[in-house]
Amino acid sequence: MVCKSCETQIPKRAKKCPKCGMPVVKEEKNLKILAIVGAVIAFIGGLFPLVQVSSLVEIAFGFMNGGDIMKDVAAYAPEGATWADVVMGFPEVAKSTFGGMFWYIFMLALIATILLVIFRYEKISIVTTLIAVGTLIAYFFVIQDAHLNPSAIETLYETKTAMKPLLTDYGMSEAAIEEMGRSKRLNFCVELAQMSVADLREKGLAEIGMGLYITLIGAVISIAGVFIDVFKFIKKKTVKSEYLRNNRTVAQRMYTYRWFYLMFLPVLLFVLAFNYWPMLGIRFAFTKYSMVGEPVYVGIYQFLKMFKEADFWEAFRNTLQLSVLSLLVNTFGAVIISLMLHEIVSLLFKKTVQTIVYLPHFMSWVVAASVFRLFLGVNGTMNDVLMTLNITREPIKFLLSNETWRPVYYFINGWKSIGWGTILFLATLSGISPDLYEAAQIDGANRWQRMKFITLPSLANTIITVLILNLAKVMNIFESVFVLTNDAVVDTSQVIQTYVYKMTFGIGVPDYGYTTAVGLFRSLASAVLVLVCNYASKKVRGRGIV
Amino acid sequence: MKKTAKRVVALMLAMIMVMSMVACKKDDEKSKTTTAGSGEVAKPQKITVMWDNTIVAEDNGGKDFAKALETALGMTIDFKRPVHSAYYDVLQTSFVSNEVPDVFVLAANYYAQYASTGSLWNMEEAWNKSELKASGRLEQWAIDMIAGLKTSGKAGAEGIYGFNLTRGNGCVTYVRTKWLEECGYKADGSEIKTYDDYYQMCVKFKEKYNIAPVCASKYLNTEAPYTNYLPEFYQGAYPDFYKNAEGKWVDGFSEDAMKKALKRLQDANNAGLLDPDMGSATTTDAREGFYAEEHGVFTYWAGTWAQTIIDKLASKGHADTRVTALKPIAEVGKYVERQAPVVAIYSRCENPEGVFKYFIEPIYDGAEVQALWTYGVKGVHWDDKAETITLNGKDSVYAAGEFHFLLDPATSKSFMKKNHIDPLLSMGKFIEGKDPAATAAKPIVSEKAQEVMAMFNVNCKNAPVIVSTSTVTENSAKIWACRNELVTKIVAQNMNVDDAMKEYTETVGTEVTKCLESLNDQ
Repeated sequence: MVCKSCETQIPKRAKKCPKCGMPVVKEEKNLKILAIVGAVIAFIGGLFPLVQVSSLVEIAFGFMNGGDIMKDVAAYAPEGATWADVVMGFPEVAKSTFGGMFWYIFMLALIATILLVIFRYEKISIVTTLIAVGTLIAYFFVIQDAHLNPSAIETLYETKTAMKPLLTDYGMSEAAIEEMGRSKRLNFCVELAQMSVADLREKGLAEIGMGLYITLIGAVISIAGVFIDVFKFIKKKTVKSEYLRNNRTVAQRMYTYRWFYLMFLPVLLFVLAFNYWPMLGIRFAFTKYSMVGEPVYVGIYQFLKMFKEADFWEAFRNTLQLSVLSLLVNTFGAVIISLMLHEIVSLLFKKTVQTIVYLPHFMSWVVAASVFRLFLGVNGTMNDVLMTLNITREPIKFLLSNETWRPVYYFINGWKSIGWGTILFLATLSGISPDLYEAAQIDGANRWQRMKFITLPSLANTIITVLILNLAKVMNIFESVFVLTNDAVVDTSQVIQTYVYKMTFGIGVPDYGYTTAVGLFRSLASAVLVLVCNYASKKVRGRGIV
Repeated sequence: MKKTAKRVVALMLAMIMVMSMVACKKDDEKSKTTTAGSGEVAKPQKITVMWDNTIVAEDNGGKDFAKALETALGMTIDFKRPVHSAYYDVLQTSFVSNEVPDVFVLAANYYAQYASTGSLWNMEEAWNKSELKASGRLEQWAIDMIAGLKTSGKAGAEGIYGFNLTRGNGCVTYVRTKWLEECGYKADGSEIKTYDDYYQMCVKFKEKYNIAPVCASKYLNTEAPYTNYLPEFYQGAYPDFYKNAEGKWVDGFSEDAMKKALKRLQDANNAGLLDPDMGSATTTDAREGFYAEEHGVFTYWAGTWAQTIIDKLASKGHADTRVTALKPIAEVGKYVERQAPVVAIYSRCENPEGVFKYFIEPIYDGAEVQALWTYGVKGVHWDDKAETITLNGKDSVYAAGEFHFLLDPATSKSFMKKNHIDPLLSMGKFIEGKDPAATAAKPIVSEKAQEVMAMFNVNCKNAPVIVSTSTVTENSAKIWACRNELVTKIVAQNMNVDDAMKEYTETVGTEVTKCLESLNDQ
């Protein structure tokens, strides 16, 4: 913590600043967090279906109530597509009707609420919260033609069988349903599209979805939080401004340093444009998006679909296994080679070996894979040698067998990365004081003992740092696997990124919504790993990595 | 001074930023259209076209072709040429980035799926009203073929969403003639009549040359009709959805015929008859393996490719370059002619009528544009001036006015044979006196290519028609990934066929049922 008055670093439990004597008082703590949490809950509610077909309401609540989540998901999953079959048809509908914009207005109002609360404009945030609630009410009861996207409904209810329950609910006879052709079904969907949610509810075709309940709970918490904050029922005492040296406003301070801010502006714009703007793409994870037409909002359907896909979990497991084992092999391989290099006396020999082990790092993965394919192919050099030496009678399918693919992968990965990884360890080793070795030698320590009691403890911190820093990147594995995998070893080689690639660019028209959902999940898992590593780093090194 | 300098630096940085953002602006010139009177189709000034390597490659005179086409059509054409293997990746990505070309090429299986998503413009009306259809220049089979392209668009709206430019063609099995003779067979391969004969031939090749004789790119082709690179093993099996004799859609992959086919492939692989790297081989790997005499049995396209294979064998230094195209064995019955790829117009193209009338129709104008699509560019790919061309030490002398192909601009290692339209597969005739190749002293298509094409023509049948629904479109990536994985496991890893089929049902059974339901319910 830094003193507000003289900017001196204050020790953890100090009650006043050791330099200027300024009492250490915690910052003003109001209840804005409650308002933010409420708005976030309402926002999450907006991602869930606000309206849904009655037969699915129970399952939806089953899912919400916890318990065996996967079981609930599995129970609901076969009809998963109908989860959001009654959706706000945005933005495709938005182009033709005003109503489609309502979801955007609703969500933007919530985002505005969160930002306003963060920047302490709590009173204005009440207005935005009310706009969100008003939009919701208008959507439900006032706006016509805004709730269903006919083509989406038709797509989801493409077959008679799937549509049957809906048509039966609508009062259609079995015989009429049997006779119904595709164009009539589409007309029916268009008819549905022209009804308001209230009408749909009246006809028993739709029920209020859990999204609405979540949203309302969030809105209540948010408004309550803001009111509590505004009326300041509970507030801790704070430092009076006259005790603070710098009591100027943010705007005043910004004006003072305006030229620095202006210089920073290009960087800020670049970061916003190229780092943050693309992040808006994560919204596709909540849509069904098949190339043409606009994405259709389907709530968390894609995530539920993803969680029940065996291939996804297989890819997830493989990602962790391949990455973590590669990391261990590469790190400890690099440590061993560094130690060996460190022991080499001849400088020429040492430099030569270093050059040789560094070189593979500069080879592209595509080239490396091609070389190893030729070398380890069924007709490759390795099999020729093994069979010539009578070590094996039949050629080994190194890259075509689940048993051998992973060891081969670890080997190739190590061959490419270990050499480069030695740089850091060699740098650490060169920093160890020779006095320590000299003293140990005088004390009678042999080479092994010197390594055990001086070298390795000196390296330990670097090893842990390297492990921690790389652990945060384990979900990013792609290129190395992509160039070495094939259909025969999918079970052991498919990782999240290759899975996304396959689902996007495999035969057929991709659903970008699904692949974005998988990508988003991967990013979240990476973020969690980064935070875990940050925590571990703080514990080990005394400072974080982020 | 310092302060002023700071201000200037800050201002300049901000300007650079703004300029760089402006540089990211999209090209608004796309699909510009000239205005036309009411009822008249306006001519586009500029269109974007995405094409794979089925037209001359960029380093093989592709840029000259684009330029010549622009001059002939009187419009600017922005050709996008992704590499062949990544063509569909790039095309799909263009939809996400909203930079979809006005015109693009699609294989049959992609055609049905893209149509079902509403990505393609329905050109049925334009086609029916077109000058081309009424001209009489197109063969009747070509008109029938285009009529057969009728498929379901978005929400089941039937229409013609693509346009064929040639016949589909199909694959025949080529065998090194030298190998046949050395193993005691006749050079024409006429003794190979059944699967047993074929299998025995492969066994003999293996014993004599100690190599796996059969090569192909993967066990299942990624494009329809999927089984065409290994017809002797698949025989009547078809791995996708098709309409059976009763008119019902069924999943060919889970049928007995497919199980038997996969068992045949497994046995052949265990006997060492299949290239062990077939599971990961690309078409280039397979071709190069055949040219390098690492394999001797290779199923590939009929027609012009027959001559290309011979030329390639010659360029690799083989003294005996003969290849024999086997007639289909009894169990195969007929080779399969694939559904030809189509050229399609994006549904959101600003002026699709104009693109159809001024870009697609002229491809068969019977004159200059058709010549460009068929033979390439005069002076780059072909010529009719008096000259002597030397290839592999052999001189070819041409008189003035005599049509002849030039060496391919990229490598100068072989003669050009065609551009996109293979003369053997062309759908339409030239107008009298407009075909530059009419002045050729000898046939522009080699005898071998004609012979193989003729054999194919009498021994072929049409591939099953590919139809798609939005359910099929949504699930096909998963279903195909599973099929490819299981086929590879069966063949390369000896997985039991029944176990594989069980896994198939467990993994994608639900999706397959939904697809069949949607197809049968159309």
